[in-house]
Amino acid sequence: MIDFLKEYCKIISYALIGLVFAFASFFLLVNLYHASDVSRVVSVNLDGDSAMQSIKDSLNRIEANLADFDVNRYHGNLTSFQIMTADNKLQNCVAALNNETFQNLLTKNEISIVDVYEFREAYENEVVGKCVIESLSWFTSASEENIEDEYLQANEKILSLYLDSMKTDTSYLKKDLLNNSSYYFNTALATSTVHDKVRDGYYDVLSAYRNVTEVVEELSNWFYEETREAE
Amino acid sequence: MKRILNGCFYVLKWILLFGSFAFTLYIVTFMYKRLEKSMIESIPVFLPYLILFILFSINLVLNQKAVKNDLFYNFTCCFVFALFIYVGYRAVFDSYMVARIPLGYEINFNYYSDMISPLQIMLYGLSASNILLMFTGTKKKEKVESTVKVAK
Repeated sequence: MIDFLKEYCKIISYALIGLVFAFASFFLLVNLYHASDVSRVVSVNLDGDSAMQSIKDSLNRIEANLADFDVNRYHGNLTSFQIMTADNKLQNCVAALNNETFQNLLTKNEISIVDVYEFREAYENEVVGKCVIESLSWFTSASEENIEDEYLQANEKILSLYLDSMKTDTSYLKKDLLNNSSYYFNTALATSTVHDKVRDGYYDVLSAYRNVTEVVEELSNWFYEETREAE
Repeated sequence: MKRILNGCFYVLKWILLFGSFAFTLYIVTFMYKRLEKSMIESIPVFLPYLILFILFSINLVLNQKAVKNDLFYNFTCCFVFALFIYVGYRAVFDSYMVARIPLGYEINFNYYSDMISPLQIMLYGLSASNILLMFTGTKKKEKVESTVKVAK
């Protein structure tokens, strides 16, 4: 009887070792696949990209609009302090849009999920934080700040709504990108999601950049007309 | 050949046991520090290591050949511990898993906590099979004794 039990125990023990071996093999393969999956890079070509071209053109126009501004020659409706603040806010936006991560990305032909994550973080911290919230929101408070300007007062609400949408433009992307570290049972769907998020996420952030640049350009056009007409 | 291989895996098993334990301790310490949890609460994570360590020590002290000479068991132990180290390595060094950036400590706790339960199941599996092999090992001894008696 004991011999029978011992034989039975041996069978069970080998079955257990076999199960553990199979389980470990499965996890090793899943991990190797996951490691190769998340480290895959996507090639991008920004030379002919319309969004990138639009950002570059806008930045050039903004810089041209802000150049040669002299507060001593300004005799418009706004006070010197207000026009200088407007100039300062727009200059801050230009600096935020030309942030280091953005400049580094321009030189890359291949991007990984880490690049997209950092690009999005730079958008949130630099562009949204320093440009949209700290600088552009000032233009939406024309009534509060007693800014006597028709253009700003007429567009106050629409500009405010537009800036609000920019603050959360890429929020969804952060959650999606962080998911690459949590799943471990790879499926075709999860794999394609990771791949797509690298490419799509990159262009999504680029598009969000373009939206901000266009608003800054619009305001810089107003600034140019306001300062040049009042000289 | 089999004896040499078995000897290698037997030694490697001990080294990898300590290696995987060290990696787990390193990650879990920071994980609990980040969550501001007491290390006493991490005992269930280390319990299977302790059980395996006691069982390996018993195998070593009592010279239980049924376990010591089992090539498949020793190889599976090495495989599981190596997997532990690989998972720990990825949690610490795989920079492509972006969750390590916001989590801090340069460790991907999300990934490691996903992996920790299946890995513990494997350790408990190895412990259970070790106990069963220990039980079956006594038979071999009796057989040897009885053959000696018959020979006499």
